Amino acid sequence: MNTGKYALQVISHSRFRSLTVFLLVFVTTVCVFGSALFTDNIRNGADRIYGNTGTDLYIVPQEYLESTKDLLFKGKACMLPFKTDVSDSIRALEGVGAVSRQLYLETLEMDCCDAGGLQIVAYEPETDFAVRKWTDKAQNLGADEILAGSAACFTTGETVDVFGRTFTVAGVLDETGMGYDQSLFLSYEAADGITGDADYAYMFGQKAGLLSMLLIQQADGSDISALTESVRSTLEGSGLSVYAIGDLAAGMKSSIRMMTAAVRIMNVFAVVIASVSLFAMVTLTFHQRRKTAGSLLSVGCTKGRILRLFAAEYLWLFAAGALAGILLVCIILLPLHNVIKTALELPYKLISAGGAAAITAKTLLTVLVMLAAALSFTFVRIMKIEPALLTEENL
Amino acid sequence: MITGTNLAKHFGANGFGGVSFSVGRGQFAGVTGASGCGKTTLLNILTGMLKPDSGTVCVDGTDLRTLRGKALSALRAQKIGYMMQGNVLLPDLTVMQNLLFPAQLAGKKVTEAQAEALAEQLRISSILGSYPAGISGGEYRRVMLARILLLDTPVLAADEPTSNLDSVSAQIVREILHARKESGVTLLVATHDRELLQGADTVICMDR
Amino acid sequence: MNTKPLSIAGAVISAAAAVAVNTALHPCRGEMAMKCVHTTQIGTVLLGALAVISIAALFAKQKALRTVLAVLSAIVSAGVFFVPLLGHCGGAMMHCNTHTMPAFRIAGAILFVAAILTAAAELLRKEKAAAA
Repeated sequence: MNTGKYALQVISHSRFRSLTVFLLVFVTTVCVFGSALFTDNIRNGADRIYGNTGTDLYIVPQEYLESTKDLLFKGKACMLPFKTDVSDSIRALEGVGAVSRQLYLETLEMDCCDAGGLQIVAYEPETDFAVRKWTDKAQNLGADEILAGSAACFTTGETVDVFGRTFTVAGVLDETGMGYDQSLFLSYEAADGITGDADYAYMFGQKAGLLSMLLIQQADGSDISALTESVRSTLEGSGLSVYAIGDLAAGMKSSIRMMTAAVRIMNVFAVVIASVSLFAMVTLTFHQRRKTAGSLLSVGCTKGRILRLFAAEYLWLFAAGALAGILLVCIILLPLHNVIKTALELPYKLISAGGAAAITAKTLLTVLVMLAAALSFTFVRIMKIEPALLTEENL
Repeated sequence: MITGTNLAKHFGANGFGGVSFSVGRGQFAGVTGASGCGKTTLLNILTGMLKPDSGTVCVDGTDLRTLRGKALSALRAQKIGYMMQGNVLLPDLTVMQNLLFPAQLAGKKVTEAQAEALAEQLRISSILGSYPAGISGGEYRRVMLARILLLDTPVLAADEPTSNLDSVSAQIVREILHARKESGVTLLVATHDRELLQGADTVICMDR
Repeated sequence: MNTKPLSIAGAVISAAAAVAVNTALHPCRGEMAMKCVHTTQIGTVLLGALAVISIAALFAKQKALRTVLAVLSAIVSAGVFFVPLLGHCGGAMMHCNTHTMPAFRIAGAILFVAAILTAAAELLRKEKAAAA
């Protein structure tokens, strides 16, 4: 019987003790790994926004500022109309590198379920610099084609009926972590066909060339503060305002901070409670373990071998508990990824495999340290006692 | 083979002092005395399970005070098989596993067939698949003896080997111990059993 | 390791999931027959089969039969996990995407893990000696 088999034998015979340790490891792993994955996904989504949208400034209607934020970060469908088209005057400003237009439309409710409308984003493939960050199909989108966000649940080649027109899904965007994930994207040419359609005059006034947002990229070497001021002056009296992404996301940032702090506190509590429980468990089984150690020492087992026998038992339980915990978190979080993203109303993007591996390693290390501390505590106490006294001789 | 010189050990007010003796190879030394006089303590000291307050123990010329850690473990594994008084079977292993595991730890090749043969002799064949919690006190003692016998060490120390045994089982244990002595094994036995002590070459009487 | 608790859990989870995807976690409902409805019907059949297999495993006396049933459970539960590939609606907020399909994935994954553990436990378990 080798060390591993002895440990398995002990585990299967001492079921209550083994199950308790397994559950402690399992719960700790679920808390540490699950919370780390959840908060890192949120931070990853937020990082995407701050570093990666390709857009320096956004011009939005002042009265629709909250709707804009809901659309960009929460994926809530809405329609935002500009009253005045200021594209040309903005393009002419010094420091402006590129300007791209976007129109936001909201589809009618699906009659098969109360799911609310779907967000349509119309953009100009020729001038776009935002959508193309997430798909290389953005530049050449045809009038009868549509792009789908990663969480919109459409696949390439599928047909979609929108506003009485059939579009073919030409591609699916990479996950953005923003509201774009739940959106569909079509060209301005296609959007003009919809907004200019008499059938939808009650919605769009039968007009083409509508506008919901202007996206600005600053020119190389230009000063963003000066550019912002100059755009602000140009927009005075138009009912439009200019914002950097940081301004739009300011409220969201504090929400993210609060949520991650709350999750971290919960995490710490879970680890502390698990550690205390484990130590209590170890203390309760100290009496039994010291007799086992004494018995093994009496037949010539070395202290190192005894430590390996005890450690093997904990390692088996650690491996099973940690694996089960990580598996459960993945089983819950991964299939529900899009559901969580939609329900959370915060940026939420799955981290990379490397990031997940780092979290896994940190989790395993935390749990292993917890177990090692408990085992060391037992082992050191036991080994300080003379072998005869371990078996309660001479008391 | 085993020499104790001026051994002393005290636990509070209890203990003993000035114990000296010598047991040659293949001899049988019995330790007797009233309860609480230190028989078990003496056996623990002679087997390296307890350090004396003073005095020396030499096993085959080696002073136990010079041995530490692995060397002391090796002594117990290879030279001295010790049947303790307390309940020291591993609770999570079956009786058969309790017989085989110590031998395996000592690096000795003991087969299940050998263990079964010894179990047959000691009348514990029927409990080989049981766990220690499920066997009687007498069966427990016989399993403890069997696991030490399987180690096949040149010195065999036993603390009350016939306690809790019925007369038939006690007689079997006496016969086995005497047979081991005849085959050259040095015996150190702490006991109240007069029949067992009849075969002793030396009897150490301890006083409170 | 006793595999009966795993079989009981498998039966309960499959039955509960089959009921859930047709009640609280229903797919999109409307006048048109949506893709997700057909997918849910197939998924329900698979979950029902899983429940039957799990119950059969509870009463199976031979180790070989229990092992075969466990392997079959694993295959069917993998089928449940992948059943959303048969088709579902577009639109992230659609009920099938927020409730039904995730339910199939989660139930399928849990049942698959349980089936693998059962199969492994059966393969490692020694047959109990026949009573004398």
